[in-house]
Amino acid sequence: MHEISPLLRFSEDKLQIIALLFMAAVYVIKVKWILKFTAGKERQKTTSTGRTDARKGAYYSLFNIFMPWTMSSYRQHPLFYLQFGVFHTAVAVSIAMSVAMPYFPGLIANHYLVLLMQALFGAAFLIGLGRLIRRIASPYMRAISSPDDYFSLWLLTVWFAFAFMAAPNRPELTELWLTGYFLLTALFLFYVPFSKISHYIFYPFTRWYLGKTLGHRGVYPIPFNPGHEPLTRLFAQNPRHPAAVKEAK
Amino acid sequence: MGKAIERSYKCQKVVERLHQKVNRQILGSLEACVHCGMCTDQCHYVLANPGDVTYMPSYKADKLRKLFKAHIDWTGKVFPWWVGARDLYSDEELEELKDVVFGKCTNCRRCSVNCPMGVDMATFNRMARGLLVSVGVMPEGVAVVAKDQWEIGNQMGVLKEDYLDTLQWMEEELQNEYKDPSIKIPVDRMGADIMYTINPREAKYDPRTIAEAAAIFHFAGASWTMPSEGWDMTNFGLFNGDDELGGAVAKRLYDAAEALHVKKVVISECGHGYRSTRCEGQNWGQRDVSFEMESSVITMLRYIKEGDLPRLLQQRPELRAHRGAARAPAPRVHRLPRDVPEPGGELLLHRRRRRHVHVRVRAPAP
Repeated sequence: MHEISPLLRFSEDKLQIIALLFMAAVYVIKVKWILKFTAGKERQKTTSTGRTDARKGAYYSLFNIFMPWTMSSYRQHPLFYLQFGVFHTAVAVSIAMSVAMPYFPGLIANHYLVLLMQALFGAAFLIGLGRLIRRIASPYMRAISSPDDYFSLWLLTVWFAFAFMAAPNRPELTELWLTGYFLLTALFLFYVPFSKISHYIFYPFTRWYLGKTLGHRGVYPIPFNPGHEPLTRLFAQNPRHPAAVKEAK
Repeated sequence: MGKAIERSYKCQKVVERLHQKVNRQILGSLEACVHCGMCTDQCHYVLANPGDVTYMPSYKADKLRKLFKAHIDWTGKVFPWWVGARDLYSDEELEELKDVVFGKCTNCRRCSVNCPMGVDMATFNRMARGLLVSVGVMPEGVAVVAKDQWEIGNQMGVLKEDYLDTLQWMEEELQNEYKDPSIKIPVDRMGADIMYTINPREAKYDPRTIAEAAAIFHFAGASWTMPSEGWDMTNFGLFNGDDELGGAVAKRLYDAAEALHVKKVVISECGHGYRSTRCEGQNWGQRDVSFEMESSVITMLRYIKEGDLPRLLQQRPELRAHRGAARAPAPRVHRLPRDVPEPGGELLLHRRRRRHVHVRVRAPAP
């Protein structure tokens, strides 16, 4: 049986735990910091017509990202949305793989599963490469990009390349790739809290508050057939209004 | 080691007030942007100025975001160059910021509803306007109008006596037109159901819209009044980001409504006025109100749908539709569209045996 190197043993086990604990600690501090800022409140009565309210709007907003047809940005750029989906799915799968490999290797032992993961990582790598080129080549993207933007994208793209090679989990063949993969995963975990990659921590806050505001104002959820709602909705501001009761039935 | 750059007094104040203004919503929006660029071609400014990157929503947002990162964001305080943090030092930079937040964004939120992260550009853009206004940096037109609204009570500088004279004049015109001395424009009537508030443009430039509304209220049998003060439902606090102005203007109107013990404030047709009075004024002024508030579009639709107005109009054939008027209904209304207009939508009213009268009714903006 192949004896794995001390570096690989350390990087797949203790280093991951240290990195995860570090990231978790920083995130706890960060969330506490976010919560220290007061949340603005709406005093005004709702301008919703019964179809929407703040809570519905907030939930709609939270899950908006799974409804690309509701945003014209994604309706106009469906391929971009597909890339987004593949890229983020690959991130989640790679993180899961970094946990499964050292502790539950049997879970990812299936040959076809490995092939599927490699296909995903390969696609994500190409998408990352494409996005890097876009960020460098497009004057619009260059105008809004900071060093963190470039580095974060580069880090993930290279990580996917290592994930692709590491997925078969064969130390006797790809120890270098495995070691590199775990070292990059640890770097990723150390770096994430201080970079734009931590946007997922802010996602619930921004989406919740935007959705709450727009739901309270009668905008979210956006109706499936905007512009064709019946006249009675305008007067059904009170849920016990006869028009609203009739409509609810 | 080089000499530290000295910040101007105005910049110093902006930085201090930034710390006070940033709340949780604004913090999230300033932190969450991933510079994906999905907002770019959703912005009407970008579409109208192809090739000019300075109109991109994320580029415009970064003008404030850089300052936020320099002073509040963790990484930005330690490694500013890494995350594009940038401090403010000179009044010239404030002028540049003014051009962006006042001149390149209408706070329409089109970028926000198309942003995967839900970054609320309008909220922090307005905050940026407020920061600049607090140190006296704003477009001249904004300064002049805001000053009038502070000092005189309305954004067009209409004096009280001129406003009351105008109402009296319109009342006389209505009585002459309909040969009906009972048509009134009541002022400060206590306990009326409705207090009607207007855009000062109506009093200053075209008071016929006041007369039209008065005619409708009269023929609908409404119990209504107009206040002698606090009648301006527009609010420049919305535009200039000054919450104090916004709250003060809204309070004048709310005070008038409460002093007259009205049940409802009806807001004449103005999208920004509706939003300011109905939605934002209470937040700016930290004030709750006991009365309802409604757009005049809804009031008129209610009269058409639920009231006696169509029947009355059939009985009074001399009542005419005003071409292009947003409120006056056509006589012989015999069919209404099934649907209610969304913002900018149209309500088509028909006249039997004559030409169609196409009346554009603008539903209020959110």
